[in-house]
Amino acid sequence: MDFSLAEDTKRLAEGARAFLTQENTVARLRQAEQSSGLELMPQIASLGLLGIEAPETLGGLGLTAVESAAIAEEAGHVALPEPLTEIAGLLVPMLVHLGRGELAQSVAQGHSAMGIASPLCPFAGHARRQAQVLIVTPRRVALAEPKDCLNPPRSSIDPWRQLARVDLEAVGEVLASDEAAHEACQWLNARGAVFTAAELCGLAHRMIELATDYANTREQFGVPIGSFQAVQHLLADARVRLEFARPVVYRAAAALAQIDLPRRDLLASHAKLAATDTANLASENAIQVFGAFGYTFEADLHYFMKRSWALAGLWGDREFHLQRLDAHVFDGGAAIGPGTSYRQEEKRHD
Amino acid sequence: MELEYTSAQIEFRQEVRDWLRAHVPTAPLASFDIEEGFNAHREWERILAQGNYGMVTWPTAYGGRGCSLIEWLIFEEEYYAANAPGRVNQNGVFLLGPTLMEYGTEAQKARYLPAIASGDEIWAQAWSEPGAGSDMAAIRTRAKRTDASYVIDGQKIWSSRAVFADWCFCLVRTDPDNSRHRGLSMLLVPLNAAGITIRPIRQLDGDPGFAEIFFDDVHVPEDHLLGPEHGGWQVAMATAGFERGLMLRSPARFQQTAKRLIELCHTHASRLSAETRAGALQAWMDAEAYCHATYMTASRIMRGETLGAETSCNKIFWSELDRTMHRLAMSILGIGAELEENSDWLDGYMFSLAGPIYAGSNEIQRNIIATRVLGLRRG
Ligand SMILES: Cc1cc2nc3c(=O)[nH]c(=O)nc-3n(C[C@H](O)[C@H](O)[C@H](O)COP(=O)(O)OP(=O)(O)OC[C@H]3O[C@@H](n4cnc5c(N)ncnc54)[C@H](O)[C@@H]3O)c2cc1C
Repeated sequence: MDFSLAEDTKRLAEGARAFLTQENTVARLRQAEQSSGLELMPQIASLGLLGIEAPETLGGLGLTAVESAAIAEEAGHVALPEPLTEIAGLLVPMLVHLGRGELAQSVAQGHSAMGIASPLCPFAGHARRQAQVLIVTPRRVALAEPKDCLNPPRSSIDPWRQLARVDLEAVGEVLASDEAAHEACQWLNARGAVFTAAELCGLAHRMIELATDYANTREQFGVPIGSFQAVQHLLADARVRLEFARPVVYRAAAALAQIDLPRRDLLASHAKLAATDTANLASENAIQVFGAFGYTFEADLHYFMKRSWALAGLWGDREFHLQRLDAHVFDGGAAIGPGTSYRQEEKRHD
Repeated sequence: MELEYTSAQIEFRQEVRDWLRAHVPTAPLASFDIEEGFNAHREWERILAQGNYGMVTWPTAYGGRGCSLIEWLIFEEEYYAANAPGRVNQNGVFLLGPTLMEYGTEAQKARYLPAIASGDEIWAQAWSEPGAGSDMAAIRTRAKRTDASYVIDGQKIWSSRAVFADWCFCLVRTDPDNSRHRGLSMLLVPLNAAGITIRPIRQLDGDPGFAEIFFDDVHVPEDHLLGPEHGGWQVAMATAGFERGLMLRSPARFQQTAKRLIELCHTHASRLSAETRAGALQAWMDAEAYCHATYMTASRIMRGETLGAETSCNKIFWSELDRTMHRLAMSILGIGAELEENSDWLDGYMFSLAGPIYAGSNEIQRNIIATRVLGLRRG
């Protein structure tokens, strides 16, 4: 039993953070209109980040969902527009899982623009740029052409999300069906929830940092507003929530490899809820600290806030996950209480 | 990251479980805040010690088992799952013990630790004063150095279990010229020393769980100094770090309460509001989150990392969770909540109200997080 991030994982995340902070500046975020949101893909691919979990035989890094979560957290920290989390955490592992190694490799190398959709995430991002969309439902996994499955683009409050609703029944090349599709869909949903949760933690962290910096410089009554306890405690509260959301997310990430599926899903739901609530608290308290400035496009905060609203609904919204947890805890006969959190469990080998 | 117990850890859990099943008293003991209950709890500490379970992480030489922190968490899980009695020597076991390991001389460790593990010496914490609560640097109780001893004069208050305890670790001012954090020292003081008067104070539940301690020309030998002379603040901060960080309230305690709360929801299912049910679900989640966070912290310590000011987050989280769970239970019990027969929830609710006050109030913890974790300017 060792619940700490390995040194290699930390180094990987630090490297990703250095790169992302340098390239995806707030100045870039301000240029949404002039950007595809995909400019950094070649660099991200060349760093190997898209193939974190792909086996080394396919040119991947051969790492685990824990590393994917660590990278997703970094992507959230900078509100990265590129679909790094989606490709590295969802698409590539899913294609590998379905036995489509070559395709996985091509996506991981940044050669094929592919979106992914499921009933819990029926929108494709970067809608105008996708060459293909992987549609995963409990009945069927299919690879569809954009012309067959994408509806007209819709605008989101997050200027970086070019969304199109995906027709989940669209014609396409069927990669799996029935039991296999059902299992793949559940697996995808759990991964989507966990990595989105990791991104939300990164976003929450950044919003707390932004508000802290602002509070240390903005003066009222002749002193920095950050010296007022009422202001301090808003940010301390958000930090406390974050401190108890991250471990749940990593716990859930580690459980993605389990064969105890109800537990995997339970943990994924918990992670998504904990991270969503943390991001909500961080954004509400941060905007309060910014005052009217926070209620504008002038402050940087809004990019992070809006991304967090967008992610809150993805891969199962609060209501979905609350309902699932409620069923587990109250009606499902789930083992609860001391000593049940790390019940002995077998790993699945994909 | 490896989230599976080793086979040795699984065996250890089973061993603890079997032992507790055979030894935990079937009827609950009386409160350790009254004499009869205190004595019964001391007896229980002795039984624990016979099984070498006084404090499993301590070296065997001091009455422990040399276990890792993960094994300690396993022990705690089994302990709370078995509804074993509260630890009357929690100040000794969880606060003074680790502080002795860090600051004690070899002679002090050999003298004090085994008697803590065995329950033979029960400790009280004597830090707060009428004029020094949150502002602990305002401590005025004075200890004057004479040739080979310290002479203490002054007054302490809110000292838990000091009415019946044997010893206290006492924060005193040894350098009168230094008024704030500097000039304090930590002394180990037998509560039966000449010149000590103890006045019980009734707590919210009516029991004399607090004591006021008056020191009038109390002599203690100089080797009762723990850590550097005038360096008591730093010693106290180490103790407070254990208190807030890991030791004082292990996750199992709250997971057990969450479990009981869910069971209470089932018993009252026919009249349970959606709001209460949602609250109980959130409490269950938070207790789990506290467990994961603690395993993470324990693992980091085992890898040689040290804890910083982020331990303040812990204290806020568990104390507010505990209060919420008990408030929900009171809501569910409704009209019966005031009755003696529901005293486990009622007593728990009262005590949960103290959680955000003791071990450094939650406002103080928020100040610490703001200034030392986030880096906000001090007011
Ligand atoms: C059940 C229980 C057991 C205890 N056991 C012991 C024990 O064994 N030994 C011992 O020495 N002490 C013990 N204490 C005392 C405890 O350490 C103190 O209560 C605590 O330090 C707070 O001090 P105070 O009660 O004087 O409150 P005060 O310091 O007077 O605080 C009152 C209120 O003001 C707030 N406040 C104070 N200063 C600030 C600030 N700077 N910023 C914001 N808010 C502030 C506090 O948060 C609190 O809400 C115990 C207390 C309780 C409730």
